[in-house]
Amino acid sequence: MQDNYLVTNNNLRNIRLKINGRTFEVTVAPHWTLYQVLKDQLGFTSIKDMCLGHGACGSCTVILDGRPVLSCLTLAVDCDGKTIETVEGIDPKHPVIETFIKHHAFQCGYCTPGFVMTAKALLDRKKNPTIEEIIEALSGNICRCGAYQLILNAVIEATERLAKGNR
Amino acid sequence: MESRRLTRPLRENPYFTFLIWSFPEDPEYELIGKPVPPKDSEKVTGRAIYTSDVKLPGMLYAKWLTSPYAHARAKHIDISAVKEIPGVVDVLVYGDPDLLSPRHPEGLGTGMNPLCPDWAFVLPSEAVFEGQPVAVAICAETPEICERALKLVKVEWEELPFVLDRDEALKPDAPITQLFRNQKDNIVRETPMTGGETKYVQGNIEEGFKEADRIIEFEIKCGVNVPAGVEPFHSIAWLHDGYLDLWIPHQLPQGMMLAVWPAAAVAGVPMNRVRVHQAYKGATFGGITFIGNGAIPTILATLFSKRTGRPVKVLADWTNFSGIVCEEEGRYTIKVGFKNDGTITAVQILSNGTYGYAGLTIPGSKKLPRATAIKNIYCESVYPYVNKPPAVCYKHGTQETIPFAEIFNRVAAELGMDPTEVALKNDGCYGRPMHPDMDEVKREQGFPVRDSLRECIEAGKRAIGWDEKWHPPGAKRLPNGRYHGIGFAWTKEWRAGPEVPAKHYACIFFKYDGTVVIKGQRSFVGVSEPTTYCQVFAEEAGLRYEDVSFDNEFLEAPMMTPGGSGGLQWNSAIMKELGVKAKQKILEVAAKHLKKTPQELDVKNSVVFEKANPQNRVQVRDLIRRYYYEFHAGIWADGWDYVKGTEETRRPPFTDVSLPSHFKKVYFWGRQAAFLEVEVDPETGEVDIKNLVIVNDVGKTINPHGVANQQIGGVYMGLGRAWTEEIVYDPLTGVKLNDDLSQYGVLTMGDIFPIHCIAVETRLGYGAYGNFGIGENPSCLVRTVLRAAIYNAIGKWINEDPITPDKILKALGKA
Ligand code: FES
Ligand code: FES
Repeated sequence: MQDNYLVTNNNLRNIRLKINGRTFEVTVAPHWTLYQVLKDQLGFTSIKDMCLGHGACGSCTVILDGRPVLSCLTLAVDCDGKTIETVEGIDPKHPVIETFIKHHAFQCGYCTPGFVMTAKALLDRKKNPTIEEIIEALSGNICRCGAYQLILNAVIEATERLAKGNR
Repeated sequence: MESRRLTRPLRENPYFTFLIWSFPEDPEYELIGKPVPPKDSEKVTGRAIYTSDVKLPGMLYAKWLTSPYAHARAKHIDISAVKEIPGVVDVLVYGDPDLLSPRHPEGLGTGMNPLCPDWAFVLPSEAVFEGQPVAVAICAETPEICERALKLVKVEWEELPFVLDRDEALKPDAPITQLFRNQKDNIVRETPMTGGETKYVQGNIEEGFKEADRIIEFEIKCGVNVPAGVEPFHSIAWLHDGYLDLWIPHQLPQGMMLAVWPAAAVAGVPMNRVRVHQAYKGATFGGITFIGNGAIPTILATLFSKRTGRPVKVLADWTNFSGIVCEEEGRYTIKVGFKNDGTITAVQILSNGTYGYAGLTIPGSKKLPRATAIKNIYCESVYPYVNKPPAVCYKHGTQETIPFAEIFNRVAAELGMDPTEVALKNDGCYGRPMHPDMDEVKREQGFPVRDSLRECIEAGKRAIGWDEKWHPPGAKRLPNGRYHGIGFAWTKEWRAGPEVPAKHYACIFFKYDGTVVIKGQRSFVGVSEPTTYCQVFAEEAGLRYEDVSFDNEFLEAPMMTPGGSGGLQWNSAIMKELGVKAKQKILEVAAKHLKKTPQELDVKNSVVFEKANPQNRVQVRDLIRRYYYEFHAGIWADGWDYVKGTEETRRPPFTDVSLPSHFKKVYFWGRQAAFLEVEVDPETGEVDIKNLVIVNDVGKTINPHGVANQQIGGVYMGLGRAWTEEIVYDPLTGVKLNDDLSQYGVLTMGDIFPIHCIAVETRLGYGAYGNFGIGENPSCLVRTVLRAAIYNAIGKWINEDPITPDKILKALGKA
């Protein structure tokens, strides 16, 4: 949550973010995290903070210039001019979204956007990862409901569909 | 694990390495037991809104001060610096006139009533555990300002003596852990749930031990686990236009009332001017929803909203790690007498702790007699307060299994028998063997004469290769130097009905476009409630699944929760009755339209047709539009007629505390089992989980994905507690040393191991179609099966959970 009462005009900065294909200009304080800006200021509610910003859960994951980052540990000012993807911006027909739904790869769903973003970042980078690579990529994300098997299956099927060019 | 490229066709895909499903096919139904698209898929697209996400115009935020001490009193509070901070809108301090309560000197709170097992105060002066919200709350424009302001609150604390250990708390000279209760000792006795039952006696325990050929004694200790929840119990209140709008994260209708009732009183509005909104919830598995502490965020939010005139979100971050401790913490001292053939003649269980409200679940008081043929049982439970958060059930972990699986595994180990044989030998109800005594009762109550345990064991043994792999303890060393172990555990079905004394309802409304909405008050906790309910309703009504939706915010129709535990037995019955009634209504109206009798018609896939001439048909959609005023009143149901069993067993009240003769008519027929294969490294104490087979008699599968999710999810949570999760307290200060997700040991994707999920369908449940809820069982089973598999590997019992490598090394004499 941005805190307009703790900053003075001379330490505020204007930054530009390209989020899900649209450009946003935001005024931020130097200590604000990307999580605060995206969720509290811009209303991207898919982003969660299961570990309250300790960098331990992965639920705040967004894709920043093609890499998955923990938005709770990323300073917003460092993102000036960068491109960001959140789950709101993913095509609902994207294999990762479709396979998560098909496999019911969630229970409460609180961790799900983080897993989806981490998986998408992996599959954007690597077309045909091994199961081990998928597990490793997703191992920074916690699902307290323990839907791991179904999440893994969803990502495996998404991988296969992408490998076959089936989008 | 060898590396594999994922280029093979899906069916041969190696992802079955990690998950194998075995669900029976059932051609009898269109939707029941079939995979269907989830109704809550917006969780994947990021459109699902949780209480944490809700933002209202002009919303303020509030946070509490939390106690830095295990036991302390705020003697003097100075908030002068806080008031200077721009953005602070309101401050509440213990003793504020708005907090005064005629009922308790500690001030406004939930009070104690049959719905609320304990006192909880909005701003008490005394904190009885570290992390407890206490003394001061700040309301400000942003959460960050709240935090900054809280740092500037000056508190003069009076530190009070504390006790963490429940045995210590029982000693006559132990410090009193919770002074505000005005007790002379620490024993919990005043809550309604502990009032009656602290003992269970069946048969004659002395005689039972005399009959025994052998007697063993052992002790099991469970460490402190917490929910490590993912979404704190935030609450929002907005008092405006004479109405109080609340966003409440509660899971239980009763818990909801605990929050709504005092909130309405604080707001000064009658309850018919309260509107309750229920967003999705992150990882709620019971816990704080059951106790007064869960209601205080709502009361505080309401008070601040009243004082500021703005919507207020109370951020209850403390609830993830300091809201409760999981119920299983404590110690069981167990003595078992048995014959050389494995027949158990006597069991005595003494427990300390193991449930915050011990009377509710005395070890064995409900479980052991209800599901075994053991004739002589003596259980006694004590539960002392200590300076830790209240202990409450949160995905049950122990009580369900200790009385069975641990006992049977120990007896089997003593006799060198296969533990599954010991389990089968002692399976039964109320001291009577399952066969042939219980067969007659099953018939009488309209159940099939099937043997749930035998079916579960056979399926599980086959899946894991038990007959080839089981060996005497410590007898199999692998070429890689590790010990191989295999274990078994079992438990009975979990049930929150039909003996639950509350009544539950839901209703439906037909819409002008031909769709139907089911309305009830049912929190969305992650068991895909809307999917399952819509499946049952649509199946019975003859409507298309996609034409039905579920709206969970209808407070006036409280449905059964907890939903995962066993609530499905109830709620499926409600849905079934709604479906049957909706179908009747549709056919009655269609009969007029098609000029036939309702009996001559049927409805499938939202089309009504004449059975003898299917071309004579009408779409339900067209029927509703044409005859809207016949449909729009809605239909209610309570599901009683669709709960199985005899009339006597189904009608309320069933509470076993008040009506022991009645509750004996309700039996636990369903059984659940787990089989686990491990490798244990004797050099490091590490356990490598090779394969887990989880077998649940679900009675009847409704949503197979829901079942698999319950199985898999329960396994990870239960295994976490048995293996990696534990809150460590500093013994000198009573302060938690690892209270965040980075240090607590929750299992992650990196810990994934192969699971084979098997659903057995005996239809022996009292719910619609004979279903059982299985939300609790997998987590119960894995705690015991891990211990059993490690014993089979190293030949030593490890009696203290979590079973960490150091304990294994110690058992092996290496540490
Ligand atoms: S909120 Fe948990 S890692 Fe960012
Ligand atoms: S689905 Fe609940 S935390 Fe992952």
